[in-house]
Amino acid sequence: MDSSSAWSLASVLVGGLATLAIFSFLIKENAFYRFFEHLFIGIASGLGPMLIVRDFLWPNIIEPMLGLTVVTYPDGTQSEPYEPLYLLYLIPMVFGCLYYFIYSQRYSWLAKLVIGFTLGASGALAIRGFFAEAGPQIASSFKPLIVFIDGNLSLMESFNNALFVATLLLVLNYFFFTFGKEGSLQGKMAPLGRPLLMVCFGAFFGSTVMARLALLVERVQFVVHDWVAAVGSVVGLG
Amino acid sequence: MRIFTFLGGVYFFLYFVLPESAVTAIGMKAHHEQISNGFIVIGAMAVGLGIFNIVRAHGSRVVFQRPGWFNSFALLVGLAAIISATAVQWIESTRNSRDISSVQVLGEFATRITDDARTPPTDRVVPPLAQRIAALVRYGDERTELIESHTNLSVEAGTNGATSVLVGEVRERLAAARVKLGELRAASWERLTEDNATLLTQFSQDAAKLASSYSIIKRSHDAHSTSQKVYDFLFDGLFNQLGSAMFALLGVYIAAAAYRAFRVRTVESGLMMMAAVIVMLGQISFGKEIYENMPSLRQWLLEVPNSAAFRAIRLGAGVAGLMLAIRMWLSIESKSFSSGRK
Repeated sequence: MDSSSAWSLASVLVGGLATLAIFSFLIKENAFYRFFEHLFIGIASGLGPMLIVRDFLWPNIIEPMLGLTVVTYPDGTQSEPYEPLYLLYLIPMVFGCLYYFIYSQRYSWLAKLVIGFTLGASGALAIRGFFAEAGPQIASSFKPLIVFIDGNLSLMESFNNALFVATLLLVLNYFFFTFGKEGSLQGKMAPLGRPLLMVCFGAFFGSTVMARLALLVERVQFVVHDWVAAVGSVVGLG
Repeated sequence: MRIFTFLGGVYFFLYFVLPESAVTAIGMKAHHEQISNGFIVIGAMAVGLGIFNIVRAHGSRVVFQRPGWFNSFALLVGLAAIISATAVQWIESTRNSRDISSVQVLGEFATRITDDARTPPTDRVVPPLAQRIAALVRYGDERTELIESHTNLSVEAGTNGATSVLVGEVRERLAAARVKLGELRAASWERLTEDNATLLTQFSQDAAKLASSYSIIKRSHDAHSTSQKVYDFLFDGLFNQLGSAMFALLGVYIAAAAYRAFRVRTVESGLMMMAAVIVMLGQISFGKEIYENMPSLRQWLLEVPNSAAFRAIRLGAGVAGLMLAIRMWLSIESKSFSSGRK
């Protein structure tokens, strides 16, 4: 067996064992499950920071700052002049390092500065994000209630559009608590939003269950086909 | 503190509210990517905090052998293994990328020489043409030797059908590049004639082709390196498998919880159950056996009533999010968390 096949085999064997360990939780919580659960958390928490450094900090910040993106040709000339403005990245880097003062009782106020700054930036980004997301959605919700296709009235499309607009307005109205619920038309219409919401929740539930079951089927197939075959090949049955 | 929070949001707010002409005029548009990166850097610098906290909490449990120390040990092993594997694989792939780009430089340099000879640059000083060509030829000789030795190493490591074709292609292009290097060496470079320019263009094209074939061989060779295999083992063999198993496990619990909690007692809960059943049956072939139009019905349900209701929920949640964002940016929300107010 060559080294590639050995690594693939080890991957399948350990993957199957890990899957069985996680599924053993269905019987009851046990040491086997907890071991692999902790292993998963360890890998996940190590992978995130490494990906931030590898895929963001290094190519977008460190490389341009150190001038590593500038190609030096064999005669000593360069593809482009070094941009010293990249050194300005040192300011947010140093500012970001203030996070680590959170461990100091005396200087933890420095960490609060950077936390506050980040919160402010996130708030402003969220304001922009709302309009960027909601704007096109609101615009596309104004659907024509009578639809003509090739000059003929399309009853189905018209019905769909009318139902869409009615559902949107009724559900929005259901969540409108600010004023005028009691006795007004708006208040009387509010209960109509509930059944439509329930249809939406039902569809969500169905989609979620199917997505999870698809994963379950894939896991079972992996264990039954790949893992059993791999175990068989190791113990000499395959 | 509040002024820092406000300042943190000023840039993005201004970038959003100012007209595009103003954003362009004051240079914000040109440097937006770099400025945004600067903001991300601030958050990215906190990556060590998470690792530090994990190591501190679980490390102390291992050192003092508190209950569950073995699980903490497994967590730390997983953490250390993925960090080392990713780091080694990254260093190797960076080294290889530099190796590949050092070959790509050949073609780029030849093109640059032609361009500079035709339109002499005013913003920088370039050496005389003959000197640049000598440097190009010398560098070309070095790179072709390097490519040859790496290609031979790949052959020694074992080749399959696809790699043999690639190796043949690299050798063919290597020979073509060497012929062109010989012609470059023999030509006179007092000034750039049309013949010389054509020669440089041809060499540039050959070098680009060589670099492209070489990069395929190099990357296929790297895909079989030990560091890549260890990384794949941890990522595909453990991380992906455990993640899928965790999510699949939740599927069982969702179904079990639904069985226990859902009682179809009212019209509304009946509607919910009906929608769920239609969506589930419409996704599997068995649903089509029950009712031929089940997939279309599912599609309609998702696209019309579900899409409209979900849009209303998102708009409502979005407005709430907007209010929260404004309160957060203007530090109005901070009062709720301040120690003085309980």
